[in-house]
Amino acid sequence: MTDGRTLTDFQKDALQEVGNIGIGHATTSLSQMVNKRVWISIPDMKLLPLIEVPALVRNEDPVVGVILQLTGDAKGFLLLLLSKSTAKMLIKLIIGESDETKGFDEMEVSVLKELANIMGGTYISALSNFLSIKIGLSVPSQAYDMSDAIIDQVLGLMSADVNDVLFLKTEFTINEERIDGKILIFTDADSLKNMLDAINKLVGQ
Amino acid sequence: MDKKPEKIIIGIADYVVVHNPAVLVTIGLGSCVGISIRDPVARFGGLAHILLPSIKESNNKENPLKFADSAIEIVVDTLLKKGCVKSRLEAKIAGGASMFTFGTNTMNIGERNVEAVKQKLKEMNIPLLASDTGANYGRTIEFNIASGVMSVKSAFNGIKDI
Repeated sequence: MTDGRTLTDFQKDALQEVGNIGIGHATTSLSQMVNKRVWISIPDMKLLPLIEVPALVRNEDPVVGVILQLTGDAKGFLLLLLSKSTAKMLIKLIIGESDETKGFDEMEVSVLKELANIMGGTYISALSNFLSIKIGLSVPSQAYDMSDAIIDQVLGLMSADVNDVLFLKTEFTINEERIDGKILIFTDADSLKNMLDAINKLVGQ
Repeated sequence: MDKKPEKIIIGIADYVVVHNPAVLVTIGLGSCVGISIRDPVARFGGLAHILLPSIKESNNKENPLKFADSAIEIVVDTLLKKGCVKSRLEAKIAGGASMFTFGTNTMNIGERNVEAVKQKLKEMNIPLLASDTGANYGRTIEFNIASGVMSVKSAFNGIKDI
């Protein structure tokens, strides 16, 4: 039983492992797309009030955010965050060219959306297969703007009834290309409960 | 006397009410709305950063500063307690963008936030002097209590003083 505010060490470890599996699959698909070795960080997992999230991702530079909505047993959002230079470099690796001096044209935006689609899709399907829960994914939507405003928008989209949010941040890097990005997952307390129930089932409790 | 006024940063679901001179800042409004309310004579002003339209629609009323209607009441209450006069209060707002769309379901929370703020201000008879809302980009605002100017910055759409 969880009151939504506290997690046991076991639950924390298990959720972190779920994040690990997700980012592992997502970066494997990225690695195949760009034909490079991708490194991943240890997932940073927090259960905290929604309004404290912005402080964890504060960054004044404009960033690329591609968002996918999660539906089903886990409700919330998956957000792929990339610096401009990382996004341009990934586009270049995928389609062979990109103009770093400009913003993002239609073609580049669709590459970024597809990238998020593939990474998000593999992340979420690995997670739902592992936990045997059903999670649906929306089509991606993209913005290139202040990172605080992107996070602000995601928080606004979370239901009005949500106070606490499970925030799972994983980072990936491609060293030789100076590429680094983040995948953030935001889910509500009900979804957290579904995931913890699934974890309990897995370990036979 | 030309010392720069102190900058006070306001987070999400937060507000500050202070006496002149001060500049109230809120960073990265997406669908959220920043609301400034000022009494130019008493020289007090406040800024709130709201996340959602109405406390009435929510099952979780723990934090009234999250919602447009209840947050405006709190800011106005605080101003009145500091000796401001209701009939002198004036407001400016910015934010309420819609940066992401999902197919046909646009879920335009930004638009709903702006509507709720305007509705509440009207209900309380507080004139809305200026606004910069909507569109699809984020905003950072700096509200100068002395001048009443709200400076609205964006990543690619320049700075607008309203």
